[in-house]
Amino acid sequence: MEGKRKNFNIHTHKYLWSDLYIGLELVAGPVLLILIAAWISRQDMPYMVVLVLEGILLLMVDLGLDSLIMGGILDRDQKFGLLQSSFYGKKLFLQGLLLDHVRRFLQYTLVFGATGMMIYPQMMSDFPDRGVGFFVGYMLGGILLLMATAEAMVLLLRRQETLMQIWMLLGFLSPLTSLPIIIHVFTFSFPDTRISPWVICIADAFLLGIILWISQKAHCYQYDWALGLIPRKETPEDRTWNMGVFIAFAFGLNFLMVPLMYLGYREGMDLSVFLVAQMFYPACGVCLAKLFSRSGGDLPRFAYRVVVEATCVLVFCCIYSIPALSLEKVFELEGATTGMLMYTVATAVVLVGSIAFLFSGVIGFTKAGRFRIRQAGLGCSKVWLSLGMIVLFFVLYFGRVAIITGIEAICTKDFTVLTDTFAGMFMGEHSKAIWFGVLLNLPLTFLMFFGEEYGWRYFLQPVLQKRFGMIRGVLLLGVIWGVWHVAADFLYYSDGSSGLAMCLQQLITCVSLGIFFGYAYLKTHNIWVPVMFHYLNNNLIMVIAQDASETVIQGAEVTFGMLPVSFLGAVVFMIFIFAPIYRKKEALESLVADLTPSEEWYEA
Amino acid sequence: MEFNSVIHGENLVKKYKKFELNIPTLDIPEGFATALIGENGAGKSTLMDILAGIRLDFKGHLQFFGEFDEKDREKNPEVKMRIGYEGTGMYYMPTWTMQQGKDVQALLFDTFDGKRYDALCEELAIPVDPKKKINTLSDGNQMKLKLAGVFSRETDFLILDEPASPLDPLMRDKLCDMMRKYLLEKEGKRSILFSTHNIADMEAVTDYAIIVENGKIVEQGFVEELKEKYIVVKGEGEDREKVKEILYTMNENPYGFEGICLAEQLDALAGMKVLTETPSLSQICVAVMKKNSKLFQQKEG
Repeated sequence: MEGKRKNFNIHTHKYLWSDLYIGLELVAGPVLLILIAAWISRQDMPYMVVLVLEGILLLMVDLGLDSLIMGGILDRDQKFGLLQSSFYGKKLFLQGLLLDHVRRFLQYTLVFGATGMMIYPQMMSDFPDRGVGFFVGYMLGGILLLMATAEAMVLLLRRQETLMQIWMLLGFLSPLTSLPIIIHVFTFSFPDTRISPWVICIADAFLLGIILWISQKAHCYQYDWALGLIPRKETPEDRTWNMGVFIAFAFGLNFLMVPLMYLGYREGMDLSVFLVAQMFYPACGVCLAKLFSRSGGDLPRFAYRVVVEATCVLVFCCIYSIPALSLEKVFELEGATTGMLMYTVATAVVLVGSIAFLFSGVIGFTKAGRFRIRQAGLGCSKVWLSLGMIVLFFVLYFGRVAIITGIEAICTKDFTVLTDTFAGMFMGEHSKAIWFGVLLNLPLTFLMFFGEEYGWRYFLQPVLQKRFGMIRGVLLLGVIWGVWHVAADFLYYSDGSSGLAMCLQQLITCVSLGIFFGYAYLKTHNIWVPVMFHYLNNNLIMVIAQDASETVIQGAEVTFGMLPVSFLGAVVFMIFIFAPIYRKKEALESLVADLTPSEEWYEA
Repeated sequence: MEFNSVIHGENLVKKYKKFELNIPTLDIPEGFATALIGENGAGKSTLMDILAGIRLDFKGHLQFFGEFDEKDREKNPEVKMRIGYEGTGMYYMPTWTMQQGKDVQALLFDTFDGKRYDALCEELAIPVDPKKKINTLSDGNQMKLKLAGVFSRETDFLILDEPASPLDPLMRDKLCDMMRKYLLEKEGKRSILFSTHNIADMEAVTDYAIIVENGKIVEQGFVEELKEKYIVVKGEGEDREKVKEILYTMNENPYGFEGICLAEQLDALAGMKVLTETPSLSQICVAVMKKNSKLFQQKEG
């Protein structure tokens, strides 16, 4: 019995629909694919098309598997009395799904192998110095990633109450291309090294392990959900996990990108795309941690997914953007343009992501998702106080500008600087257009700023403040936030010679802004207030400089002599450290309580 | 009457948005068939799901067979093996054929007896076609198949959610026979908990009754005891105003009235021209439910 139980697939399907499905999966799809591959191999077309088609077929097959064959068992609210009344039910449920994965993996290895044979000559002419091992590794990795993507898509789709969104396709494309990129990274950047096919195969096996692990976890989650084991609220055990994932993404990913940035810097490329991607890492860490934590609670999954998927695409944009690593060969692009091209793509991603995120907010409000939104700290509370805070920020921001230009005026004894700056802001040649731009950009780009603030203010600040005290916590957060920018300080913001000074300047800015942002967040319990601050802080500089291009913040020359001036300017924000709210532990408690609504709140 | 309890529950609480199941103590007598009676939405299925381990998000403590608690149920294969559960809703996976249903049950439960299952299918007149999807069977046949499944296992305790509803009268009788036989096979060791709306049809097999209303147990006891506790009163028209207060329910007609009251309150009727009768379980249940039902009270108020 035990042996039989070990390899039994309870999801095997035998009836009319399954005949149609198996027809699609085993016969029609593969035959079509092989024909297309054969055709493409005779045309002057990139073989990547074949991979994309394979991905689409897989997604269709996975969707069909769940909705036509399994009758929607991947839906999280399903419960199955017979399985759940048995001790071995969960085991069989998971095992069946995983056996199905393995079956499909083998099947697709065959199909992809066949199509691979078709495009093999073309591929080898592109990479003449690669052996068959490279090719095999490439194909196997492709299959794995395609399968994982399709699986993840279906799971997410079934878990989501809304219809299929365009965003999914974007997300689908991102991991789809990731393995080829990883291989490209190695092969193009180090043309002299030959990667052994074994290395690729081991990497693939590792990947398979990860994919099966994630898949198993996702299915477990689903089964436990039906049993009611997934609490609506976060549990204490989740916190360690959340912190680990947050650190891995917010800092790990950030510092992993540094070598790539340096590579790009050396080649003199535009690094803006890295800066855009970087802003997403903190929120991505929080969202991933919560999405995959054991209990997790009831989450605004769509919004979280938007953040995670946007980050994925952006990371790939970064990798692509480095001329030495990029797919110039595939896309036949000029080296110098890839940076800007990828920056354009990244902007589009931010735009689509922001709109998708707003859309998720609408869904949340109409579909009784208020609990979820509030639990995730996305709620818009204390509206009037929040608006007041934003006005206060304007005042302080211009106060800082006034102090800095004022000192400059005193030093140079030329007081026209002061009037010029303020007159220019409101009456300059382009000022109307720039102000309008700042306003218009808000709904289209806010996701970037949310990306940082959700990590720093929503996630990290309460943790640090609880651990190190109200004041020390917020100061530490400022320092962490400043240090987090270090690579950008050296390679992007400064002109190369003044990196260290730029770092110190950044530290001053981050600590002072951190104090004020933290103050406003503690007061309003509304994450959108710091998001708005951050947005304004980064965009008003265009108004001040009367220049709406990205170059306004790039390659600045900073000297140590400017630091005291910056410090004096930053004092307008720093004085908030003496605000009474930083002396009250209860302020933090009430913030945390507000973000974790009780069961009673939910029942009411 | 004293009894050992096969399942003992304490402070069972399960909250939904507009409904709360709240049972301070629950005792299901060992060796008897217990009927769980209540309105739709009274919490019967929720309670059964909690006992069978279909829902694990509840507060409170459970004890099975006097030795295992609700955590042992998830850790020790023996507990779930000894409990047979038949539930409404999605019981089989939507994809299963009859053959698969049988195979899966053989894997899920060590004591599942394939031969006995086939024999029961025949006995219950289920049209067996191994390739037919279970979902396409009629409600009655699906129920019979589920019953064949639980009765072909070696269990000590059965949880049956609405087993009689989709069955025809003949089959209900057959079901009562099967339940009796099941209890008799290991006299005093086996127990059944079932919920039902067809109290009259199932009265023959009911030893103990638990009446649930609005998430709370409002009355419970052995049927014999309940029949002594309540009494049917029939009388003439002129007395109706006087008795109205003590009667749980009252049906009026041009000739007189008929109602149920507590036997101990019978003294209040002394001197009136009334007839008394022993009530049926069905009458008791309706009376108790009416008295406690939210719906009914709203109507009257």
